[in-house]
Amino acid sequence: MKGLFKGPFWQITVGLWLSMAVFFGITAHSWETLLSWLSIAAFFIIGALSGEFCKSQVKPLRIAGRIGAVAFFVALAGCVLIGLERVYLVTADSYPRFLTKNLGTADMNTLDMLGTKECKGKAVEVFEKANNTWIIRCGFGWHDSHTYTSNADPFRSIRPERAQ
Amino acid sequence: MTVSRFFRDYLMVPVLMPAFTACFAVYDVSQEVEPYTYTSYAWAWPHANENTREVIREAMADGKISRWESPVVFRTIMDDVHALMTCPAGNECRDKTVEQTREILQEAMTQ
Repeated sequence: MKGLFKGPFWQITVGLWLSMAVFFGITAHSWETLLSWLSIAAFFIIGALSGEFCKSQVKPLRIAGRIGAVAFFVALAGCVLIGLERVYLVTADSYPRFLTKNLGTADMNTLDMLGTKECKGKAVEVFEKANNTWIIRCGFGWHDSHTYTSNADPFRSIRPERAQ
Repeated sequence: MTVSRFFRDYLMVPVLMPAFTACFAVYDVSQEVEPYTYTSYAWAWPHANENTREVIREAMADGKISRWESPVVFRTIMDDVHALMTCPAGNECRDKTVEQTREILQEAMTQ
């Protein structure tokens, strides 16, 4: 692996992720954007370095390598799970109630209230499910979102009348 | 291994690539926004609260809005007004010059 760090493939890959972090962070004028892209670069760097440390003659480095490797695979598994959860949320007929907070009968006022409090700064999406259930999500992935259940369509007051 | 050797073998490319990109990005955000951005913000002005208007006023203090100032104005407007008029490609709203659209925003700000 030592040769990997000297080679152009690794160095250009890391350079590209760091460049994208810097470019999008500056053009979007946002620390959050910068940190999101930097964490992807950190993910790859920690993974490769941990692999290298695991083979070290120095015991503390070996331990650090194992911790880093575990963190790398946990992060990888976490991202896969977040992706699967999102696909399930959007496409499945139902969503586990215990993962949501029940709002009862939500309407536009409920959404406005959420928008000023818990969901401030996040996009709100509403998914219609089977059995008169609507799932409301503020945010995108499970890790930084709030998910709610409603027994009525929050948008019902502004929907055009459906054709008979 | 000397520091300079270490830098050249392992760090130079991953450090210089973002450094050059940063230089380009800094140049890019110093440029003025597209003309239709002024008309979008002029549309938002009557719907905006005093805090949002202050943010727009600050951005227009030098008579122009740069690509660095624009995302802050955009997010402030979206948090307050929750909507923004857009100017799709092909629409006649894109035919105005940047001087005209600056005028439109300046005029809206006096309302």
